[in-house]
Amino acid sequence: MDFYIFLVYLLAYLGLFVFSFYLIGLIKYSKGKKVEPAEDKTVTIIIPAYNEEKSIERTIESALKLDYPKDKLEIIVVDDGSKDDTYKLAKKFLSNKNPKISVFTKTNGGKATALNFGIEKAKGEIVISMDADTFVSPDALKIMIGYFKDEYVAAVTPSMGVYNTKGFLQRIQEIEYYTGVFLRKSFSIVDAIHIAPGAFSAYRKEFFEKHGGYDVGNITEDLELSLRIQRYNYKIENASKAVVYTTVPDNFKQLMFQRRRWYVGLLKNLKNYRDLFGLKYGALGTVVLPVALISIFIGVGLTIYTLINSLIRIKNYLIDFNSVNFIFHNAIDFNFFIFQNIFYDLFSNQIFILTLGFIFVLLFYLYFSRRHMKYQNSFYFSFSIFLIFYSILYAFWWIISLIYIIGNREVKWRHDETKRN
Amino acid sequence: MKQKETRELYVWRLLISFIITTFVFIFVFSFAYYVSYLNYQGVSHNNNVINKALSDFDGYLLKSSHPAFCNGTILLESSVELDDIGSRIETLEKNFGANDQRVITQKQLYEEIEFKHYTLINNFNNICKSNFTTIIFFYSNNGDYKDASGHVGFIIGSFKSTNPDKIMVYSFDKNINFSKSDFFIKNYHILTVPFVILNNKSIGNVNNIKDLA
Repeated sequence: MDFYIFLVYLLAYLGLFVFSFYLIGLIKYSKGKKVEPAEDKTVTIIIPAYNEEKSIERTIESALKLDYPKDKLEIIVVDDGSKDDTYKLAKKFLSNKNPKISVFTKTNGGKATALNFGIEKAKGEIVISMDADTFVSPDALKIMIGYFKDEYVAAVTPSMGVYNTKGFLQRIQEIEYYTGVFLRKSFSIVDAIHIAPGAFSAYRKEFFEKHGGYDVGNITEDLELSLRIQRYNYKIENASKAVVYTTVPDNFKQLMFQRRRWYVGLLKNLKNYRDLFGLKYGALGTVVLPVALISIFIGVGLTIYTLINSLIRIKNYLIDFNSVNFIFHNAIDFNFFIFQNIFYDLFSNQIFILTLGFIFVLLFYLYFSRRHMKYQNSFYFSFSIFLIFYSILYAFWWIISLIYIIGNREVKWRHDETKRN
Repeated sequence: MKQKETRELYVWRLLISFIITTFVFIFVFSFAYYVSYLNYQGVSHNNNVINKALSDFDGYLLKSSHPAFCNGTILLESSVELDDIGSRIETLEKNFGANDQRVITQKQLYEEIEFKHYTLINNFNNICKSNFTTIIFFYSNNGDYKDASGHVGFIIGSFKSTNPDKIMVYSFDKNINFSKSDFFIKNYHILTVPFVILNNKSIGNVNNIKDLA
């Protein structure tokens, strides 16, 4: 067996192992006591915004439509020195009709500084960070607050979906986000959530008072915060029925910058929090983080190997066709017996059977998410293009990120940033 | 807000997951080998087909001295039979690998049949004054020779497709000993592979389709 095949089997084994682990947890969890929605806590929603004039109004309207007692909810919009009309559009919501909305502006300092600014001003027991391009279901807040009845819970995450998908890249991201719905729930069951999405997550204000605010200068401040919560042995829960939609990049360049920031941020933060690996932190340190890292490197390695192999094959085909002066008579050679034997060909191949298994697992993840999330476009088409292109994109993003890490090159929060605090 | 003092390790859950995953893997490998076994059982009657073809070709060679030989019927029948067996061998190689002993056994018999057809074509050219082109191609599936052999095989295949009814290609694996291997190796001084013999003349390696024209 060559090394490539061994890595494929290893990746498949790991994938199946964690799927079984999560599934057992989910089955056990589904038989347990359900968490009821609650409205007993005062809540501050902080919306940091930088150049979000296209979506800020819709985001604030979505927050105002939350089904939550108005006397227990305040909204703080922090304009982080936008160069467009974000601040002006947000101020339109200041009125006697919305007494609990405050809008501030400050010099640009990055998302973390805007959030910390908002936390200082927040009066609620629960603080929610909400991106300015995020839209939340009206019942989401009540569902999430119910989880804070547990005194060990420091943060609660929702189910994240993609808002208004159009085009090829957004369809792929939609499927990716929806597989994440199952994974986030599974992680929460074994107390191993390591990323509470900055787009919309709820935190006890007490945590910030005791352990400090967002890490300024960190390119993935939401990830760092989650790892810090885990290090201090608090719980991060997942309210899978609380549905939130966020906008995602619609072009390759924007998506590339986002993923580079995420993956470089992930590795840098995991290096700083490497003490989370190991028995002390339960399933987080023994299963979730180690398997995630191993899978990333094996998956990227296999994709690179496959791409290089494909390029060598293309080179050999070109040499072959050049030798016959590009006469294509022989290009497709039909062998009737091979066609007759196609069933045997496919099902005597372990990798083909494991690939079918992998597709089944993905479909299961998506079935789970379908119970809560809306699919904006044709599911089968989105799933097909996800299957074909995602691994190539994923490997490409990781290769770029690793180049930045190894080369110690700076990654900014935004590609147009010139200065950060 | 309280901090947890300990975290559960989910040992039983990990153990059950390990057992489930291992069982699934054993099942997948067993199923694949079972399908492979069924496949081979399904094509193992190739043995009968090839044995029948061997005696058919002996019959064809005997008939090459008949007056009706030049009407082409025997040639056509033998060529169709040869193509059919060639496709079966190609399928076996694809399913079980070129180095599988079962495939090698079948290929040895197939190469005997190829040589008989080659003899038939030479007889047809001589007796019936025809002009079939014959290409003998020695190749190897091993090591560095595999890619070079594949490249030459591609060129020969393209050349044949320019006139498929008049160009006959006979491929022999240099690692398989069939009864006439020594005859070719000695008479045509075959030292390495890939090696091409065009119309009973040594060409050696081929880099372009023009080398065969």
